[in-house]
Amino acid sequence: MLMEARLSEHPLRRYGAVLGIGALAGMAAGGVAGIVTGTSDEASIGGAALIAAAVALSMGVGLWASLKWWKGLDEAAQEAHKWAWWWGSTVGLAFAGVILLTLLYGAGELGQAPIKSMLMLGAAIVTGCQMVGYGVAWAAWWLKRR
Amino acid sequence: MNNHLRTLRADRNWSQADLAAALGVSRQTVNALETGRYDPSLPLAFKIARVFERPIESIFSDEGA
Repeated sequence: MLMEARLSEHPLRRYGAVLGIGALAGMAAGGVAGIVTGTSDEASIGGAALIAAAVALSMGVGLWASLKWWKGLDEAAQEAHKWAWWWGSTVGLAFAGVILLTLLYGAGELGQAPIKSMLMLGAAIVTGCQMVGYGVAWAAWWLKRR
Repeated sequence: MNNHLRTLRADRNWSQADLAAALGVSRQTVNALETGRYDPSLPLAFKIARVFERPIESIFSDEGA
């Protein structure tokens, strides 16, 4: 019997490795941002450039790890992720849109919050809703094909 | 799309894991293929045909699909 290398061997371990690399890269970038913020009284172009470079490097590492992981998935696993990305994230984005526009109208005192807080809250709502949608859609794709 | 993967595999006394190893895919993918709930790409369909040493059209058909 023809034996080929298994593309999806130890999928959870590989997924965990990608998440771990992404988390480490993110913490490193966050550390640089924290140091830059903590050691300067005012925002500067140099500080912003340093943070941008650290975050860009972190994103590059994360994308590299994701690419290695993606190439190790078989076609059905890739299809599940592509379907989940489209449908799960799109539905999640729709939910986020409802929440954001409702908050925009009814935020009250929160509407006076600093721009940084509003930016981070908006980003958290959008990415949170998209991640939940993605996870649900991914699980639904596989459950339908059990 | 219908297929005879489960029968062909059983004829050879292969487990789903055996077939998955031969095709370079996960066992879950083999299960999805066998239940007809996932249609393979052309490259995977050709690989399946090579593994079973049969023409593609004797493994897959669109009748009743």
